[in-house]
Amino acid sequence: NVRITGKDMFGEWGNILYNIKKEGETAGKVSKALLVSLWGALCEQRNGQNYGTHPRIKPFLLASARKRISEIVRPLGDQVKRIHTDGFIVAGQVNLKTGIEMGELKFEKRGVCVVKNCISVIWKLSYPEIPNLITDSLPDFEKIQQDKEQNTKLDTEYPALQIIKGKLSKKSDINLPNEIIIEIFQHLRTQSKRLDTKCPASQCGNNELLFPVLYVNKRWNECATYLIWRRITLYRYNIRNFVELIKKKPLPNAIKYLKQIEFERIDNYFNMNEFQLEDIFTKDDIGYVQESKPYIYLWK
Amino acid sequence: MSASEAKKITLKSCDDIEFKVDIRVASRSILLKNMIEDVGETDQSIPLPNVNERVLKKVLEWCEHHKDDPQPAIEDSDTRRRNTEIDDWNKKFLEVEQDMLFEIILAANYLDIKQLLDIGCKTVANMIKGKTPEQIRETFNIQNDFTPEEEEQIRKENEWAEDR
Repeated sequence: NVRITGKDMFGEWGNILYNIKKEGETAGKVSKALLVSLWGALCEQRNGQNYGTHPRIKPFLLASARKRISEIVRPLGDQVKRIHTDGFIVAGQVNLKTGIEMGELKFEKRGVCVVKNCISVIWKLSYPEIPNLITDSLPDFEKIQQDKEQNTKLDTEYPALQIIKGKLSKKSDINLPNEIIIEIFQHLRTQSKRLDTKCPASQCGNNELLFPVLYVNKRWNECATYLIWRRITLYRYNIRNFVELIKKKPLPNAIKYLKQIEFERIDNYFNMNEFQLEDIFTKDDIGYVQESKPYIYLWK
Repeated sequence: MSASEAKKITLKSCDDIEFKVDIRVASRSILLKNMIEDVGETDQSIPLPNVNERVLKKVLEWCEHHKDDPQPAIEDSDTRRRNTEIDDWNKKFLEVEQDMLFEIILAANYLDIKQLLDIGCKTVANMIKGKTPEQIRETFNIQNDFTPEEEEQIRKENEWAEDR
């Protein structure tokens, strides 16, 4: 029944860890992990189950953090572009007191930040290329004039064409964000006739209907590549081609998306020793590898 | 006054047009459902800055038709997508110009109406299915920004997966 402040509970321990954190390197990283788990460990939840001994403090902690952040950002108005639980991103110059001591507001970084949506925030070294909408998309006036003359001629000669043209759906340049394009492509993946729902390997989807969209344009290619390469399944018929291909040449476009390789019924047909991921990819490509037959997971 | 008459809210499109709708209809949108649950019944209109009058009218037409449908069960998204059927009413509902179809998809995504988003995406997927890259570009008025060398590179990168 006694209320204790965080300072009383963790103050001394926090100061020790904070000083180690400031030194950086491995010890600094470990200290940071310990620091952020002080309160969190008391109200830890995993898979909806309470593991901490004091789950009730969680909403109060969160509310307290949000209150503090909101008090700081409110005076900044529209300069605030994004707010996290323990930080925020602002545009332009702001006058805020920052420091490096525990509890002080820290300046993390400055740069070009693209906030795409609620989950995707990308920091870039320079401003992304913005197409010059005036010069890059200037219409071909000569062609427009020719088409117009041709249409007028057709309309005069074949009046029925006008009715048909009116019924045709109006076309527009598909202008959907990548996450929606990926959602559409997901439907193509799961609609393949070859998809056998009983086969565990096919749970990842079949890419047959996705191949044509790879060649449509660069944006569609990026979205389809993400889906095709994220989780790949190697069968006895394609593993040799796959290995030969990636041994020959690095695949910078595709490899960045690779998260999981699954081997499907190939043990008797392929000597697994021929397939050493570390020989094929660089460490930067694959990050940490966890082998758990028949899968290989790549943590980046 | 009956209970159903009382349960209305006002939605305001980005072009300042107001729609008074039954809460059951609006609740097809998870975004609006959560908002209504959070703030309770209110006389104030809910602004929808990403949806214009034309599209909101269409989305509400869909919500009105499906207001008595059971809320979709939480299921694996692949299983959801594998159901390729679009019923006749929805098929007819989405017989619109491409512009409108894309705007409906965007609005469904924003308002978090999973079933509408699904049928919208399925409709576009069906428009892609079985077409060559050139036919897809023609259908959606897309410019090919690849050089022949880049196309060749893509072919090489993916041929292991295409061959069967």
